[in-house]
Amino acid sequence: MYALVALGYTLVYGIIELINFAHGEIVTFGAFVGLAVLAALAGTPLSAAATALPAAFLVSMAVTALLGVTLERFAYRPLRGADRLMALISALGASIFLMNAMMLAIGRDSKPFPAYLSEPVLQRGDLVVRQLDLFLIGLTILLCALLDLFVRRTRIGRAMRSVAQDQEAARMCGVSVNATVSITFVLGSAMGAAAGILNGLYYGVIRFDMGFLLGIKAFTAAVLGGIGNLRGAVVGGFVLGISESLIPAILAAPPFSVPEIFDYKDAVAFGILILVLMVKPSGILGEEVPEKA
Amino acid sequence: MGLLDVAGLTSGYGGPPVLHDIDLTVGESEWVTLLGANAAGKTTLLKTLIGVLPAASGAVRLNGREIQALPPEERLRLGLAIVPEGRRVFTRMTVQENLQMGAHLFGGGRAEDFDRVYSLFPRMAERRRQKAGTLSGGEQQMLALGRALMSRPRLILLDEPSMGLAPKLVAEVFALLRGILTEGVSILLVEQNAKMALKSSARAYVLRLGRMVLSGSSADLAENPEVRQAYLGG
Repeated sequence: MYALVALGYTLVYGIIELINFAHGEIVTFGAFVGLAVLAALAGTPLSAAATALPAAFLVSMAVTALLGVTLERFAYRPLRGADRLMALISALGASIFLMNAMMLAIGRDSKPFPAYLSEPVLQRGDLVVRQLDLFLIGLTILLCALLDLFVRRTRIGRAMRSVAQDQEAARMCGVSVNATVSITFVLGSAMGAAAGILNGLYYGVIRFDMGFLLGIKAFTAAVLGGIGNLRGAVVGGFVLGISESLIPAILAAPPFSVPEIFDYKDAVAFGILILVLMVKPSGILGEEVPEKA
Repeated sequence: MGLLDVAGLTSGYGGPPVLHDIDLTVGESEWVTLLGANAAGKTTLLKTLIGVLPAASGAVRLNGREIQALPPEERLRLGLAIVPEGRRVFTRMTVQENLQMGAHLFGGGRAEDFDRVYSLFPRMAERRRQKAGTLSGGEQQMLALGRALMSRPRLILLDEPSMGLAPKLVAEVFALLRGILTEGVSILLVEQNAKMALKSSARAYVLRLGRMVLSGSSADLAENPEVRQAYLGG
């Protein structure tokens, strides 16, 4: 899940070197669109998991992609070429704006997310693996793999990489930078929407501000993997998710025996961010940027 | 009327103009050289012609059609291509992918165009799966030229293709350009290596501080005392 959200950060950063702080809100928005679709289908013959979930994912990814493109068009494009700090401030503003708009539209309280795929497929003592857990991992890997293929193997993906490397040289080859950036936001936002729905399915509730913490953690994952690097974002997402559950569990058990550590789960994530920035700011898979020839 | 007609072109980077009132013509299958010292505005002119810099005023016509307001992708479709200063190949992409970028507007490259470029540059064929960043400077220059050829241009703009190359490689680049010329492609070459450039081209212009100060046949300019002193080492 972190991996999917982290992809959104890293995609946009790779192309226009902007930390899209509003990406967390994009994820929240995607979750609510998904919830709306599931609610609309409830009670109809289409409410089974096999039909309702694909519908929720597809609709939400499409609508959220539209929001992402709109966001880029109005909040970021006018500032392209301006100081990077300006765009960053605009991103923060967009984030706060979207969060508050969703609060007004939906309300401050948590909304229950319908449960799907909750039957256990494996049960051994305390260990329960639900269908949902497999679905979550499976879909995350599938989407990451599809995105990787798209960026590596298609003409549009090539254009995206060329803009990321040298915008002017890309334009000299006839690549439209505006169109490429729009496509980047489409992909990143669609991935974010999928992550939002997965988040709702997993925790059973969603709230207008859930994207904030999720977004910052995913950003951590992106930095951990090496920002701008797609595979790095995926690796960073999985590493962060696993360490976030594993490190407190280890510290709570003997010989450390500090059960209070679970209250500091978030501190683990941000501790990792600070550590990475201190030790290896380019991240696990980050390339040391070579000097231009 | 030439293939490329530039009339009264003024351009720059948003501040005071770098280029003032430029007139220039390149004919069909003609090789034209543009000489000028550093910061004379040569690169600015080529960037304005390909469209990554906007023209402040004046007209650029390609085959009679005004193109100064068109984005680069339209100009490429009409037959312009550029080999930019410093090569600017995509170093983190493979050789093959760089060539595909050259044909980006044409579906990523036709098989016969790959064949043609790979036969012109056999070394590129051997290295097609290699990252462009691993190539030598000379090979990157060949790749930049190959990339420009992938869009089947009618006019290639070349920005100092001999920069930083060993004399033997420079001769190789010029030989390739002569070959391209005989296929009917026109060439506008910006060059510091004035001697070879004037020997190979039909006509030449001299740019100084953003203005065209001299123009004429390359043979005449090569005899011009001013040109000899400034660009040919006396």
